[in-house]
Amino acid sequence: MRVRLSLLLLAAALWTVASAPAQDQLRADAPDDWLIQDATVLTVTNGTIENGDILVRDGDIARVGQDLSAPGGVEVYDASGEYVMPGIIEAHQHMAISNVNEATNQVTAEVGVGDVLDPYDIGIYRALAGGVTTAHVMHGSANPIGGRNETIKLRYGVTTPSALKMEDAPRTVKFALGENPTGLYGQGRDQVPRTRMGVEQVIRTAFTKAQRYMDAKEAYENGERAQPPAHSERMEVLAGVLRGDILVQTHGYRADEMLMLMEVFEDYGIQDLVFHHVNEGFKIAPELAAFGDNGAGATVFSDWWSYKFEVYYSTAYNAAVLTENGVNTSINTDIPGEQRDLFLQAAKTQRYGDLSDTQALRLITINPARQLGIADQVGSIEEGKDADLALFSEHPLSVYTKPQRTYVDGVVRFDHEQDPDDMRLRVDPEGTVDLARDGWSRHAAHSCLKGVTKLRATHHGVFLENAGR
Amino acid sequence: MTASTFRRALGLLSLCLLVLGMPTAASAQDYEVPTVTDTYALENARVVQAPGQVLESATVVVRDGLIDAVGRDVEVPYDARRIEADSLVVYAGFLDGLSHAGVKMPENEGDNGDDVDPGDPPFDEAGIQPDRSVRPFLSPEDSDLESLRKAGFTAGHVVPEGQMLPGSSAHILYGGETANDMMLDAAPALFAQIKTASGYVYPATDMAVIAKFRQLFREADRRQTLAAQYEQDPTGTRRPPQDPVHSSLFPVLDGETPLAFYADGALPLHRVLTLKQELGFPLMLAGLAESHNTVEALQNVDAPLFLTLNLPEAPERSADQDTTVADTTDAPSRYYDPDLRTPSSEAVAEEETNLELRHAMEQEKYLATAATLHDAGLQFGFTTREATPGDIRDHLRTMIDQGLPEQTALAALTTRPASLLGLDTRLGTVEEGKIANLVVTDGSYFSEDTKVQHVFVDGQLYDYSTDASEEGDVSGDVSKVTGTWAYTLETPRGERSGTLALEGDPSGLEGTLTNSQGTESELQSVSFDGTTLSFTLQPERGPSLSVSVKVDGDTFEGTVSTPGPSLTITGERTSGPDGSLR
Repeated sequence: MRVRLSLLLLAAALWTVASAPAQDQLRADAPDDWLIQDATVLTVTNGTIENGDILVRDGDIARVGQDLSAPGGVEVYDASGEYVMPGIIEAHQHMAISNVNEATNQVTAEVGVGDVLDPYDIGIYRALAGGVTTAHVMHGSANPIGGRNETIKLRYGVTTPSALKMEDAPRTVKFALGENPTGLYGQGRDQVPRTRMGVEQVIRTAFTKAQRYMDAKEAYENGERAQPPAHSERMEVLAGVLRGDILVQTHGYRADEMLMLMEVFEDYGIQDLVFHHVNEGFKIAPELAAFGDNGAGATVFSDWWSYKFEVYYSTAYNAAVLTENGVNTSINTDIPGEQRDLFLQAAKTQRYGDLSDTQALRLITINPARQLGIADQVGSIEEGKDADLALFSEHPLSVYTKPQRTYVDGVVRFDHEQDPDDMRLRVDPEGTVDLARDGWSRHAAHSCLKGVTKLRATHHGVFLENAGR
Repeated sequence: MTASTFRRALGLLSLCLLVLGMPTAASAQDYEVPTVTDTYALENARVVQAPGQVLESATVVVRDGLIDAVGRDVEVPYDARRIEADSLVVYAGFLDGLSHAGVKMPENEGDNGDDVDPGDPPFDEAGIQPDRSVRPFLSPEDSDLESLRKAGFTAGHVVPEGQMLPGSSAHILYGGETANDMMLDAAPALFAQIKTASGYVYPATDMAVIAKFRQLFREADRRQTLAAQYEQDPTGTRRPPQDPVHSSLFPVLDGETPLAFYADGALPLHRVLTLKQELGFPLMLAGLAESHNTVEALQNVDAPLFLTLNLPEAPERSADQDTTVADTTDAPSRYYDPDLRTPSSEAVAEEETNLELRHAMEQEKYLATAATLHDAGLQFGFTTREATPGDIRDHLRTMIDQGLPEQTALAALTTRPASLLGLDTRLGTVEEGKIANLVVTDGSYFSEDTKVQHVFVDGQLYDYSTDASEEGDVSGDVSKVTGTWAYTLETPRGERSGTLALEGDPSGLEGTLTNSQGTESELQSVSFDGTTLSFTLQPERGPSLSVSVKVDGDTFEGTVSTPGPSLTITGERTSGPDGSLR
């Protein structure tokens, strides 16, 4: 009987908890049935439709074509002169969460940012204002094996944290290679890993323990073992990685350490792997494409480097080189507040690498969707997919373009016609009154490295720097 | 050292027995008949037995720690101290849903030095101490007890301080001379918070705290199963793992002991509710400051609720105001423009005004949280944990101004917490047989001018009717009191005497009290209005003592309010203002 209960408890853990009906402070009664008319529809997967219409029913794309008519009760939006693309997906973000790094232990797979979602974060609205509809919000890169990430829909207005979660998105977990873990644990605390070899060892040890944990549980269930092993939330997640249920998303810059991890994963039979940042990806693009059955993914910055010693060998042609070599590639910004111009980040690949419009748009739509395992729901304008749509005044890859409207699940979550100054969902009653002229600092917002000691190279030399908690 | 200063300050009182080298607590063997009575009769009072249930001109008899009788035709026992209560209102003593009152935690706990692996600290350093009880940390000297009592709180649910699982709680009386006197029930709940370890060790983030709750619960569940199997048939079975941390969670897994979570913000509240849904433990929820944003989620959960009696202060500006704005904060929602779009940087002043209005509106939501919960059909008691005791009555008035019905406020202080905490057979109403916890006021508790006159805890009287104003007002003929007085104090162990010297003029009085040991104490806040002389004595440690006497010629009679029972003091003038002998 008791054993049953334990298994139930576990089952409950794997279940996305369906909590009370979500409160929506902004769009509780907003329609999710629309006819968007006469736009240039950039489907990304099926070419471009001039004077195209999109019919949205119950938050899904019902039809895509020309000269569609609006059934009764469906609102019509005249998008003539405008461009519609699939809602932008960012594969690497740290907004809308209360914590980033549990930087106390080399392996913290049991923690998850999905447990600390913050639907009040104004960053969600700012991202919507740049056409972003889905974000992969991630644990930080302090630990070789960090915590679980969460794929969220930018339903700004809902205040029930779990209502941000994208239903049915596969679970993912953060790994990190290189200077962040070696700096924090090795240099900072004189613990393993002090070197890249140590990072590999931490990961191999964790996988080996998880394998033994799985074996012991299986033996218990088969009656070959009298007692179940001591329960471990950490091992449960790592066992999920070994089984292929949980997708690994790995922070890494250098070619050698990415090759190392691919070897480790091959040893343990793990097929899904997406590298994040990948500044030296251009050196090993064929190897990345050849990994496992489907290749390893790469999500990169458009043109940002030299902020750490390991990030000097970089090029703005990285995304184009990876793409042309068959690597499933996406572009991310990492930084809350900077994801508003992802469409322009994608456009840079046309200047640096001559990618086509579709290739460039794929970098921020269907490609990240595939990396996150959600390409059957989002990432392109196709019938049956979620009505996540970004409307622009000009072609989204034009420097003159302006986001007009952003739909998430058919609900207008951003409309530049109705974009008042104060879009906060709540205000700290005792906090200071934040004034517009207070300003914003890029350095302060760079939360990916929070709690991490890093090497910082400047003209005056290389310094150890603690980025604070 | 501290003990001796404490004794000196209290030397006047029954506690001065310490100075005389006599035992402080009467043991069973040397129990004597006390010289002062513990029977009281509050006569002709307006008695609010429960919210909406009022007896006019009734008498309440308190005897032996219990409410002996309540009614209009009650016989006053021969030995009762009669309190004329014609103009007074008697309420049931208030109950505190969750607090640290009467709890003093040891310092420097959970410090294991530098040898701790931050990734895997011992349980105490991680803030995981469910095997600990608040009982050994109870301290009747905690000054919060006195200040909460003055606001009307007579009992409560107290929890140890700490991090994610600080230990088990207790129901205690907010009065008594020893921790034993205070105890009602041990371990009704385990205290819990989404709170990281105190050092930078695991769990250092809320997400790790949540993961750790899951880990502890699921491992405890496994161990409970193993323990049950082992009990049935130990032969040939490996002994189940033993540690008090996991086994102290067994009653929670069995649904017998709730986790009493404290959470104020909307996000922590949601996180606690999600955790409850996942792990299925019985829940008690206190704090709820921002629960106006989580009403729907709370409507779907079965848990006793205790709303904080703290309210937010007005916000500050991050920069100096460079424009003059009209004061529109009284009705901010009338002036706030949710659609404002500032056209240019030149119009930034307009935006700033709007932002300030938004802040004021948000402030109002917090003031109206109690009303919001009430309107949503949610029943709640109150918690004093984050409240400043002196502000509690102001805050209750604010909540009532914002729409909380007065009767609901009273219920949230008395009957509701009594039933939510399972104390309703003993506390919460003014009924025969209940523990004699009473609040006696000179008007409706919720009126601004009303003063708490007396508080009874466990049948002990705490007399605040004579509390002097802090400044010490002097009016009338001061020569009626100046000079030297010999006083006699009636204590449970007999009479104590000493002298009181007063000097001064209508601009102010000062004086010294000398006890029988010759120890002198300065009088503070000396007030005199022509008949009533009152002053306080402030020991270096511990709560202050208030003395108030009525002067009649060359004698006086009155009371001394102490952390324990109120005592009667009488005096006789031995020399006049000019030093003349009497």
